[in-house]
Amino acid sequence: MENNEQKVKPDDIIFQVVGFKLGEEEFVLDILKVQEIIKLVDITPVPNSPDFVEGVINLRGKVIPIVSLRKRFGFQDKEKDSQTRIIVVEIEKKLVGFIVDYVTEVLRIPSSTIEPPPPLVSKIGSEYLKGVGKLDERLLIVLDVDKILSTEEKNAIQKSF
Amino acid sequence: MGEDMGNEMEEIIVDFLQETEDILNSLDQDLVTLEETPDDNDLLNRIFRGIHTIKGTSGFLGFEKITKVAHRTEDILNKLRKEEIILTPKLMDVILEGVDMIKALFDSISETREENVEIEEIVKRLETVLKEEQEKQNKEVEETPAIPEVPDLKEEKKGEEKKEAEKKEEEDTPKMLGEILIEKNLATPKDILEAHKEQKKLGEILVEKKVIKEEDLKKVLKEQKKGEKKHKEKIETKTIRVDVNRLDNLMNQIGELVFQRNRLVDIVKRIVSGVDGGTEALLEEQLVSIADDLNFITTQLQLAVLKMRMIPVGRVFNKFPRIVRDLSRKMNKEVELIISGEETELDKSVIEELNDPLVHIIRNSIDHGLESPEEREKLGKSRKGKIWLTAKQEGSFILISVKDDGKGMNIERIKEKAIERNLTTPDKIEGMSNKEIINFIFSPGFSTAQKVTNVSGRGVGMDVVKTNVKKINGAIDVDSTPGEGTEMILKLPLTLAIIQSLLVKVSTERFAIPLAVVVETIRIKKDRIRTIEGTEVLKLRDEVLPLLRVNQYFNISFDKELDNPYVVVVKSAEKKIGLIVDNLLGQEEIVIKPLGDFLKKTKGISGATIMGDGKVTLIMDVATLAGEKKLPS
Repeated sequence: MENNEQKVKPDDIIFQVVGFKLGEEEFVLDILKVQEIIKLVDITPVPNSPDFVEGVINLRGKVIPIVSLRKRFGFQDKEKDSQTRIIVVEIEKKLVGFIVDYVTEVLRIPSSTIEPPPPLVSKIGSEYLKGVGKLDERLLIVLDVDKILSTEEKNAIQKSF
Repeated sequence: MGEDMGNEMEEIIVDFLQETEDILNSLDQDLVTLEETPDDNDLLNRIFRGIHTIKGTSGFLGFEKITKVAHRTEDILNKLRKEEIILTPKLMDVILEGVDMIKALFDSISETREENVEIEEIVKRLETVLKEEQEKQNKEVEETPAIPEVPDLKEEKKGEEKKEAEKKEEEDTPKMLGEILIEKNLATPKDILEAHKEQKKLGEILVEKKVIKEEDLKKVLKEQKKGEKKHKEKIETKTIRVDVNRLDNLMNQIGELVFQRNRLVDIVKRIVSGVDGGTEALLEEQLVSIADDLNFITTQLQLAVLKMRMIPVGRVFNKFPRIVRDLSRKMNKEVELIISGEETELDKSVIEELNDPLVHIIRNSIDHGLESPEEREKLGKSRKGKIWLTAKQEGSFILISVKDDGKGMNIERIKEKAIERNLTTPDKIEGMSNKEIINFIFSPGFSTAQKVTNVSGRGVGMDVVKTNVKKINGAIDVDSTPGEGTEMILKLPLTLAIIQSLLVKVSTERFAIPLAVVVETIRIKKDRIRTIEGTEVLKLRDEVLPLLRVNQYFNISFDKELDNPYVVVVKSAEKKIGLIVDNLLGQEEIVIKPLGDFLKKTKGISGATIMGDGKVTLIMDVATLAGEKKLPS
């Protein structure tokens, strides 16, 4: 009992997250934001859209935009392969698909292990991060899904017209 | 329990709003017609009944203000009906004002469920005008014996019927516990009332137990109310009335669909089990037949569902007799409005977007188009100007035309304005056709009105019309002859959800172009493309057509320029341009899907569709593409 209390503080919340990789870095997303994970399908490019928008796909009759997280975060682009996945998330009631290198697993992390992001944790800007979680030896970057497409993106999308 | 009551009440109010809206929709037109044909007793009775129904139901629901206004209006109509007074323009004005007030109250109720409009003034006006007119007319006419008020038998009977209907409703609704207890003599009404009083609301209990403070409770309750209101508004905008026959038709189609599914399941079973499957050829034959039938049924289903969204364009047209009447009185013009084709059906969403553009166009016709009665007489025209408002179907499009027999557009004035506003240069304008010049009126802020009147001349007008029409994938065309009049034609898709499109191929990509904007397609040799002032053009018959290379515009990589590309000639409100594409893939009916919030502003793309192979194809926004290209001089 006592041991447990030391490890998991009483007001601790357990987060269920989906883990995925971009290159060597491992990211996690709140599972409640994820609608589904699908294999790569045919993407129709949308001209004149921001470069991180790969295009649109048909998700059972709905047309949803697909964002390359690599391009979004300024990583080098990578050939898509059999492990490439699209994580479909819901942002502000709208569906968006994120292309990731591959999906690792569903994890449970206690909120107490998540720390605010140090400024130089990753190549990506800390404004998209909720924090950094440690699970055993793994360093997990917790993404703030709502922010990924909220500030800069929307401006960019509107500016280009 | 309280909630149930609330829901029930809400349902009744929604029904009331539906019914009242229908009545109000036809009232305006009926009243204006009545002014022209005051002897039409059937019409007068219909109007009376409409107001009477509104009075009755709103009274029943406790909307006191509507009841009062309707009552006073009904008084006037009743006197007219009994021929105690005759209809004068003054009376008609006040009746219309009354109806307007009922509309204002109606809007207030549908938004907030409360009557937040002041009515004292109008009630007083209704009373005094009736009194004045009555006295005036009584003096004028020789003293006729007043007809004693005979109770209207019909009305009474109707009331009885209603009571019976209510009674029946009462029997149908399940009884509440208290009622049953009273009926069985197990409790007295007093007991029940007291028991009710002892019941407390959650908030009150919490306050008593000191869990929350009273101020906080009040705040939270307010918030709750707000939320409820918002919720209601959202629901309201999403209802549509559907003819029962159309629903039956849909049911039949679904029945067919179920039958075909069963056939399919049966065949699959036989294939899987291999039992008495017959020969492979036989199975194949059956599969082909099922595919055929399914194809047919889905088409029918699509049509049936679309039909449910269709409403007659008369819903919009009905408002215009009134608008025309008011405007012509205001501007001292005599106008006859001739409406035809009001039964033509359009998608609800298209109809909703249609009202504002039509109001603009008709205002323009009355204000700028039609001359004053005196001027018309001098010109040898009839004193009354005519405006024709017509709707008709042409293929999968609806054409709505507003035509007047006024003075037509002043080409010289438009030329001056266009140069003044730097939209073009004097050299260029000399080479333009009248039609091209007229198209300048669609530029933002363009107005040739010499003076700003109440209704037009403020420079917001035709560009708004164009934007609205574009929003519903339509096109607009203007035709004007000096001295003879102007005609504006709106070409609209039957529905917003499904359009006819031309599929084209550009390098590796496929695009859909709405067929509404396609004028023609031609195949050309690439050396026919000329460059003038840095713009590629094609001389087509007598026209110089600016060209737009779709692959360049959309940054699509391509291997090499084709020797014989296709040119799709498209037309948007202002101009015609040619789109250079690699190939034509044919014509197809496509279902329009939005691109979603994140991409909806993408330049040159208006939406997407999903093709038979499951892939997404983008729909070109021709109006934007055409706007990109300027015609070289």
